[in-house]
Amino acid sequence: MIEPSVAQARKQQSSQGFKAYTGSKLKGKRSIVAFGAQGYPEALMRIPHPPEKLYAIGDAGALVEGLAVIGARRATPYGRACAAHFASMAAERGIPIISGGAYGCDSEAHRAALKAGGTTVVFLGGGCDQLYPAKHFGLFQEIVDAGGVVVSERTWDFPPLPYTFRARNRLIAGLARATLIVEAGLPSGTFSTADEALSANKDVLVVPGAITSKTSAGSNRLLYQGATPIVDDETFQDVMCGLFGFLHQESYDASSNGALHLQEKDSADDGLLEALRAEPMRMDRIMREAPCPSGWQSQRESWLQMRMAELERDGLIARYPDGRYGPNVL
Amino acid sequence: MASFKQCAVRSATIIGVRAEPVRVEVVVSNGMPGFSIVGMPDAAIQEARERVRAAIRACGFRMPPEKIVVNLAPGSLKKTGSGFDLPMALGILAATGQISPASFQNALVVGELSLEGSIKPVQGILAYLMCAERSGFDLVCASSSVPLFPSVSSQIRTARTLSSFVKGTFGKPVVPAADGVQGAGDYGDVGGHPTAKRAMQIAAAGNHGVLMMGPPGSGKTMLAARLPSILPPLSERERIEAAQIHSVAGEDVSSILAGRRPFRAPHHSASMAGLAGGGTPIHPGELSLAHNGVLFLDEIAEFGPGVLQAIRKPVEEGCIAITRVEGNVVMPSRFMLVAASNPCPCGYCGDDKVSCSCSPTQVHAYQNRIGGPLIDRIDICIDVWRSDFQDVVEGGAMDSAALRSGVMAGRSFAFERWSRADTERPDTLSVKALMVECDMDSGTRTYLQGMAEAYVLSGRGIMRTLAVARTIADIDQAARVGRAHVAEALNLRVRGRAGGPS
Repeated sequence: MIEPSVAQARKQQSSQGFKAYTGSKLKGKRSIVAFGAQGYPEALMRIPHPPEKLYAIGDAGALVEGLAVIGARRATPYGRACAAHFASMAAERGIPIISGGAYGCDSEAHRAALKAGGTTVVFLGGGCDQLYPAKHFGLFQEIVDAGGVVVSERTWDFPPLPYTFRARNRLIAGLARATLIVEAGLPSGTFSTADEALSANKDVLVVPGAITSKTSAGSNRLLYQGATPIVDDETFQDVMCGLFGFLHQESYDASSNGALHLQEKDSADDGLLEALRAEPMRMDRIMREAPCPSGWQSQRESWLQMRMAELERDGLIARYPDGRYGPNVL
Repeated sequence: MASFKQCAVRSATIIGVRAEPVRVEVVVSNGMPGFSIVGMPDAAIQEARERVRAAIRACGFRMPPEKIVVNLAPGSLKKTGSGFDLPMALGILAATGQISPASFQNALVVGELSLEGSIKPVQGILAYLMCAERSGFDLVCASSSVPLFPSVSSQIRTARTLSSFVKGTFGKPVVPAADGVQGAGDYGDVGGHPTAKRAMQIAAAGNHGVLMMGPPGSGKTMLAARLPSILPPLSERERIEAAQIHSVAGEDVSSILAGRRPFRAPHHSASMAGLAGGGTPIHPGELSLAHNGVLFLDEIAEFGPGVLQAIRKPVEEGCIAITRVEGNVVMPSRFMLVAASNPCPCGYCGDDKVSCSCSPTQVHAYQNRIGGPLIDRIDICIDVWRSDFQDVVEGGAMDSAALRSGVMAGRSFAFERWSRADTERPDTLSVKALMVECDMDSGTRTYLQGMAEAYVLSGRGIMRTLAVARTIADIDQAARVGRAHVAEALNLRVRGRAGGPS
């Protein structure tokens, strides 16, 4: 494919109704790494159509193999929580987190990696001076400051266009040793990254979702097609072990910060939490159907209100954007 | 022959939503025949000259071929409206001895004249009546249906034409039949939505602002429109205030006089002047018309951000001050705020059945607009979602009568609580005063503290929770706020963001 010039791309951008980025530029060391030169990531040499040059802001040495954590932009709390949880687990073990810097799951993964003190790599669709999404300028700057890198195969000012994101996905999948998909609907852009990972012979790890959930239909389909399921911390650690070869840490404390609350024992096992875990419900339905201990039958509604408030306080359930209450995995 | 004949008639002019007394002084003297009006009249009053002249002739009276000067006192007040036609005509006729001033001596006179001499009603008759009542006069006005306040002591005399003043034949006002509180449906018509109905009951009992979120067609507007059916009836004072405003605005007052609270639902294309009031002469806006009732802002995110910003202060202070060169006009606007919104521009964000077609940026921008400047006035936030088929078909279990009994119980309990306390209850309570009112035991207090920390509640958030919990306890007729009340209030709390991707 013949690459359009920056001017041509700009024209396409405005004709498609997108605005150019006019915000401030990222501060940090800028470097251009050419194919085959010192510092060009080996993993990217092996993919089909490797980029000729990489334009990076930050430490280009951070462009090493890691774990890609990707997922839907319009993510549910479940997807976001999973992204943050597994990204933080991997980052704590020194595995760089690679993602696309988009809204939703991507940015959660980057943030979690930063919080865990790890390095993280952002592959942008456009050039590094045409940040997308513009709202994430602060996040990107933080990544650069923390020793991570914001990188693109496009020249600095190249505008982000729909096809550049698809092309960018091959770099995310290519640099990563494995790609973890935390939430994907159908159809989904996340799929193209998964396809790239498969065609580059990389592992695709998928967090399953409820089969009733539209937002997890894509991830479940990937599992059916043979992706590796990540069903809890242990399976994730095993896979990381196999991929990155660090010793399994027996001492890992499952109740420490970031642990999956799903495995935590709820102090009062009264069935309400179980019911919500099985299927997120709205308040109306909870009031109608949720179980209630026999001693409270006469004050059923009061009890349910109190339990809901407590469960939410303890972070065991969360209110989803559509008003339903369901398990919170943060 | 030097002649100097004069007469003074009492009248009034509307300033904002109140009528202010005005003396109409008529002097008929020798000089070039003419008719001039002084004392800051507006264009409608200047036009009165032609109407007065024609009406006097049409009724068989004589228009004096002398110099007529009408002064509207006090001179510093800007007068508006066509209500001065009748007092001017009566002044001229009495000054020239064609009628006796006895019939309107102790009365406030207001009415518009037609060219054939019949007397037409003017807008804001209730405001004039209250003005007459305040100054202890009777009211003389057109013979149309003047809705009576039960407490009014002023006599009302109605006249059909100018000739009635010769014979002194006056009528009595026609009191429209009170049609009772009805017209806005019943909550029984709304299928499902028990949580939302309960939230409406709490809001009605405690006069809390409500924000409803949900996709199109989920019943937000239905829930809001039925709110007047569960609100307590207007008290005597509230009824007078509300009816006066409606009368000035030329709106129907019969339902208000029947005790029904006003429900105003301005469209989101409403201008600032339309909402807050304005224009020349100053006309009450939707915020004032909603006084003592409900202001429902449907699709609140679609309202112009400038408009919402501008009405924020009136909403907080309970009154609107419109500043003009001639001075400030203050109009009351104390109402219950009910807002509704879709979660995103297309309306289906977070819907598991219909997929949303908005980009995360759009959703973000939209949700930022939802709360906007009015979020401070909102205590209760609920999700309204499509009801299941079963609920729609079977209808709602909670109907208005059941909900209203809870509201009335809550209000009367709260009233009893306040009357037992010695101190006057201020309009807005401090956190400290709220804590005293809630009278929580130490267990509940610790519980609330834990919740506040876990939910990262702001000071305002804690206050709202306390206020809503107090109302819930009132509905339960509980003197102390318990854990269940706090928990329910927390589940209704306003969340930092209404949801959606960050």
